[in-house]
Amino acid sequence: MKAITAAAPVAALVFAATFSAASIPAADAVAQSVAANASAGRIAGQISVTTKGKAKRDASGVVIYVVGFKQDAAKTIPKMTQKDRQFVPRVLAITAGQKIDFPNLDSYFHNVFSLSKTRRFDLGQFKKGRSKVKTFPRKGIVEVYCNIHPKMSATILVLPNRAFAITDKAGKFRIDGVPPGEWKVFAYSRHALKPARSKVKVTAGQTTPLRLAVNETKFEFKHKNKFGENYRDKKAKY
Amino acid sequence: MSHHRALNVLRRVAAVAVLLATVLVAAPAEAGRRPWIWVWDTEVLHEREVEIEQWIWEMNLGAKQSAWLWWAPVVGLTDTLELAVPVEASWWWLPSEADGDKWQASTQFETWGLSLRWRLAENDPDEAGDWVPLVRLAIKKLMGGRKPQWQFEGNVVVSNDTGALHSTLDLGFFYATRGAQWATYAFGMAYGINDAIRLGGEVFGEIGLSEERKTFTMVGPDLGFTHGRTWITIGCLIGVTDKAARYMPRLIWAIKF
Repeated sequence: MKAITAAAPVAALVFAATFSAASIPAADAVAQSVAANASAGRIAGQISVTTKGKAKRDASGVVIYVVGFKQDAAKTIPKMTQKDRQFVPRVLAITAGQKIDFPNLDSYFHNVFSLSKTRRFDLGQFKKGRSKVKTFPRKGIVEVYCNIHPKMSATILVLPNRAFAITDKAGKFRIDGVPPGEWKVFAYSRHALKPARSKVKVTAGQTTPLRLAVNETKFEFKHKNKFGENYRDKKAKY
Repeated sequence: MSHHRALNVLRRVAAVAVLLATVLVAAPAEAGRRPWIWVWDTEVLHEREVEIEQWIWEMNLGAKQSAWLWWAPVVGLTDTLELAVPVEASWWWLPSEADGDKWQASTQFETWGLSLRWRLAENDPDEAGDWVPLVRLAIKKLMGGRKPQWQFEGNVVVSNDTGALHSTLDLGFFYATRGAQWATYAFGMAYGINDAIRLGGEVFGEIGLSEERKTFTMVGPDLGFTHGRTWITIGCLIGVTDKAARYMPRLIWAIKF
């Protein structure tokens, strides 16, 4: 279990490596913007999630993403709320350049921050009804915490394109707007040591099936507050 | 080498290694909120953050020497507006007029006041861009004298980030009701060796606009260090013109809550 505390940086390194290992169609020697259009295909399937060899009842929250091409970020601004001393959702996937809104719905202060190299930020303390928006310009993984509440943690995946989806409780997903070609697909869980991976061939107007298996560890990753110190509440489980 | 002596050497090597690791390992917080001892910078606290900040410096003016203490709680009023409530005290040491071989010293409470720093860009460096302007306004009550005396201060500061190089230009104007007026100019450059350490240098000068104020220029090196909730900057300005102090070392540090 001691290895689990090192899982976060290991997962981040593996996540970063997924972009450099991406395949690029022969017709496009250099990565370029690819607009989703009617001739795109889709990838759909199911992710089976296990914890210590046993099937997990709730397989939601696994991010499936495709690498090898870039797309402009959507204009929509998804929310990562602070509610009941938790981040909702706990996993969020966006495209590089997109913004995220962090509204506080609790009746007490929160101090959302991240020390991840991909996007370091500190929202400061703000109370219920206030919200702050951040832009995420670089690809990578961003671990988000609250400087006041040690149990609060979430992960943001900043991806190179809009071809991603998050599984539902049954582990099912569907990704639309994938350009035709051969691509690498990854399934990321914030509780797994490394993403599951596969290669797919996408044809315009057709659905490519995909099934992957993800093995999750059971525990959260330990973290320190924004000053690099242990939280004062020693009894709190991270 | 005896066993005891070998152990002592090992302990010293381990202590140096731990110190180096502490200094060189990337620190969670930004490196040195102010990487120079005299040039104002453009970083401000987040809303509701609090720092206790203090500066200690000495001025060697040849026959006269002095040491100063500036102490202030600093509060983030918003994400871009910061308020400090500083108090200043000084200690003077100069030759006795009656007997040149003797020295006389005096300690006095110099000023107290309010200082506002308004960052004219997003607090987040990623959102703010490479060029960040800031305006500083301060009012101080000058202690001593029968009638209340006030000093008004204003600075316009612009910083730039190019890779690991951080540069700032600081132009100031000062007006005291007892008649003194002067302007200041300062420029600093600091290089981020890692997240914890910044090495740099600065130029600081005053232009006297009234009789009692001198015009001079000083230059010097700086070292800024950040660790957790603490930042420290140390440097020494050296006079390069006639009317400047010979040297002016300064230590500034703060603890964030």
